[in-house]
Amino acid sequence: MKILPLIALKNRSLSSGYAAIGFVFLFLLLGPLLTPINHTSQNLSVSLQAPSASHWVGTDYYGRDVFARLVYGGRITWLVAIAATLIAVCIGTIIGLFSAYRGGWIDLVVMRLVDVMLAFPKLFVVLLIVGLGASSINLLIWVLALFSWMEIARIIRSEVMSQKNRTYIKSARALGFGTPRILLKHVLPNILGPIIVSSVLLISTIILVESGLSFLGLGIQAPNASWGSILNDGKIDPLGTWWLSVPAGLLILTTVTGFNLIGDGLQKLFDPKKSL
Amino acid sequence: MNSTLQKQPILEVNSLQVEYPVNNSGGFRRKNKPAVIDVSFKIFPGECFAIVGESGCGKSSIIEAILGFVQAKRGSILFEKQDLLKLSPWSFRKLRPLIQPVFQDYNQALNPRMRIGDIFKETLPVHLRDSQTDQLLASAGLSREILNYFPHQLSGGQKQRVVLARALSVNPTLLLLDEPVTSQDLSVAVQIVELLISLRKTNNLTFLLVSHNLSIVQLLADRVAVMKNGQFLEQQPLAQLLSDPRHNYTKTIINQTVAP
Repeated sequence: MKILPLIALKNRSLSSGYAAIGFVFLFLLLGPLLTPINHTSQNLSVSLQAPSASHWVGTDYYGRDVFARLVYGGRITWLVAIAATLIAVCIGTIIGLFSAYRGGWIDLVVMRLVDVMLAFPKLFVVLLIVGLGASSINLLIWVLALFSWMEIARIIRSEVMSQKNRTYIKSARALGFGTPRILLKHVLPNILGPIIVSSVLLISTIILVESGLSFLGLGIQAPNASWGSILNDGKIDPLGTWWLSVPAGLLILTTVTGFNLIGDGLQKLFDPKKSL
Repeated sequence: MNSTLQKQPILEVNSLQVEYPVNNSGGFRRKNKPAVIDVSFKIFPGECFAIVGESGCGKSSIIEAILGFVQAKRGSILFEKQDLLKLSPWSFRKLRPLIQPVFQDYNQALNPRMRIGDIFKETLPVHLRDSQTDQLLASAGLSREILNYFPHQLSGGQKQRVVLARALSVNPTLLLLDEPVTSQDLSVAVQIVELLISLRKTNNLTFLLVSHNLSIVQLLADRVAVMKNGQFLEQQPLAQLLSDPRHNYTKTIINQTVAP
């Protein structure tokens, strides 16, 4: 069994996922070096210009440089998705671990709570909360996280269930180790695979939800940008102002596909039948 | 034997009853199936008490009940005069190192993500770690090299030796051996049995051995109980059991056994 095999070139899903995410990551990292223009500075005299030498991906209604907005908007989209995923994974892991290891009525109550949370249509609830509250990046991150931890908790719970009756856990209990130590040092390292896989897949889901919210005007607010809000800018004339919708759409597509491919690849890699 | 009988027992199990819930087609009424029925026995310091019986007769459930992994329905389990079934979880935890299990499935007995060295580090006090690790490895017949290995890099026999060494690292007085050599091939099984015999002498250990194989029991046990369908049919000193079995089932087991 390998320990966190993060690089495996024979695994096609994984290597193409890395390539896609690597490309977008470099774009976000190096983008500011390529353009000196500020993504929020307006110049109405160059409103809605097609791509040119001075504005590589054209300009929007307010004459803001779309390339700069794609770079900075992408950074915000990634920040929101990764932060929300980290919070959701922490909440889901703690609840799943505890619920499964304790079992009994605690498990029963916690899992019914998870069922109730899962029964809410996520996008609509998030829409409602973000719509009612003053829209800010922090609020968006927390709301996305609080409605995404349930899947993680369920996966963790089922993994812990399968581990907790293994002999090495029984031996640890017999040696007199306490529950926190058993959970953190013995159970958790053995279920890291599924946690990583579901986290990576969750990033792409959250990117889609965040882009959807921003597209509807409820996510990231102007003058800040996100890929969803740039798509929104282009919705009046998607063909006429294609440089607003197509690059942003392609970046969302590449990122989501990339994370999904990495998730799939890692899943294959962590599959005990193949990794042993 | 008489000398041991005068001592206080290290473990005394009285009228133990263990039951498991049975799923009856999803109905609300839960039925329980007894796995251990009214079992009583005593184990004295330094002896090896064995329970023999076919698979599923309830032998391992006794060990699980002693370790507190299954709830006993009735009875008492007195370890050094304390009833394990009545102890608070905290007091039981403090007592746990004294009773160490060695399970049949050595493949799953070690955390697959921990190196052997780290497995020992977990149980040994920091200031004595190096010297005690060396001592444990030597007593289990293992070399220092394996400290850097992960469990999957070891052979079956090595894994079972590591399991034994880890159990000894917390200075137990009672070892619960649940089919300790059943899944090993013959030559390794013999080595493990020899190791158990020598460890028992050097560490002054008491054994509760559970096995379906009378040949292994013959090599280790002082007294033997024969178990069938959750009940003890008879318990006798080994020599007496072999020469004068009282129950037909015991005779069948003896007849099926190849001399060790």
